[in-house]
Amino acid sequence: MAGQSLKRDPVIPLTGSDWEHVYEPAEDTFLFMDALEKELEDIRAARPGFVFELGCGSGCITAFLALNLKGPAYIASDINPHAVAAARRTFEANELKIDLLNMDLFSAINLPSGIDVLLFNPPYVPTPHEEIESSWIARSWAGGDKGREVVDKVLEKIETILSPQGRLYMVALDSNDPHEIAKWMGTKGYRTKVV
Amino acid sequence: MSSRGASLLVLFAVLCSWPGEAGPSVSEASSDSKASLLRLRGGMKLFTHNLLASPVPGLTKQQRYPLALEVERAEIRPSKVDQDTIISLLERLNWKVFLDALQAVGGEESIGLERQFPQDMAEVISSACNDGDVHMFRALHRALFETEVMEGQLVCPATQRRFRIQEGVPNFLAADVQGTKQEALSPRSEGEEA
Repeated sequence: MAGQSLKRDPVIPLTGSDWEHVYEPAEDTFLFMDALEKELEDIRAARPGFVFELGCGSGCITAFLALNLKGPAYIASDINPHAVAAARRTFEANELKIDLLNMDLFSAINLPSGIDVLLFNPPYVPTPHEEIESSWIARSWAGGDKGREVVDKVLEKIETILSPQGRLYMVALDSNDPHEIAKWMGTKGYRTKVV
Repeated sequence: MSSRGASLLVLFAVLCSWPGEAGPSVSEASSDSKASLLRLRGGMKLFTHNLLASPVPGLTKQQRYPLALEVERAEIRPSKVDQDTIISLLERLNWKVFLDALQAVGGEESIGLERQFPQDMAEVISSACNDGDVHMFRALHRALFETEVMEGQLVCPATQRRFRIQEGVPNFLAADVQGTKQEALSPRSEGEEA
């Protein structure tokens, strides 16, 4: 697609001590942003009204999309209060008006008409189940069996979360068995692609 | 935590057209220094309140929505009106819940609006979408996106359990979530920053 290469990267106003309890943007975060950049024109063309990030951590991903795609209303959430506080600073530093919610998954949200774009960099690292809830920072990466325990909780109910024209962007490892995820989502009527 | 071999999945259903673009912008960013959570701007928009429901387990959809809103402090933060976004979000709004939330903030007058919103959402849609009433867009934008609750409470309609909006962020964590007892209610100060 033509033009639109004026990509803006978010300012991340966080420092060393912040990363004790909040996931520091890493390879997967940058991969996610690269993928969103590739998809940007496609997302724009779909004209989303409402974008939601589940497990926003530092807020980097939502800030990136919001800087590069003006228009939709954005909300970001995390179970980790430190992450919520960090994301708030990130949004502020980037002059973005994005609401934050401190909650577990979609526990406090009612979505009769769904989310148009759901962003999710889940805790995908395969770990023992117990590790998931072992600390705030562990919640950002510990994914339990096959790294799928948290992912599956979301995917099980995905049709109640996305709007009819909605889409989910999610990071997955090979060990999460993305092909199986694609097959499963196929049974729910979703198309899947790897970006 | 290596992401070697990570791949990105996109799942999407039918795409249909949707109005939208242009943008939310912020009036001003504060230049806060240390331990500055209190000085950060930005709160819960009334648009967001419209989507919130009680996290108390075991409730039906009807029992968990809407959350009653009690406002201790709200702020107006001006931003750019985006008519397309308003149109696209208007049709997903629970209008009655929105009007109740607006009353909790103090009503139209308290946020600088001269006219009352109609009780019937069809009237709003007709004047905004069909007649292109700029004042209606302006008013909707003010109420939905510029009015932000900084301090207050959200109350579960079924159990009366209360959830605090603190420094603009609603906290729905159960008391037994890991770490919350020690940490959640007093996010540590960011003393080393700046």
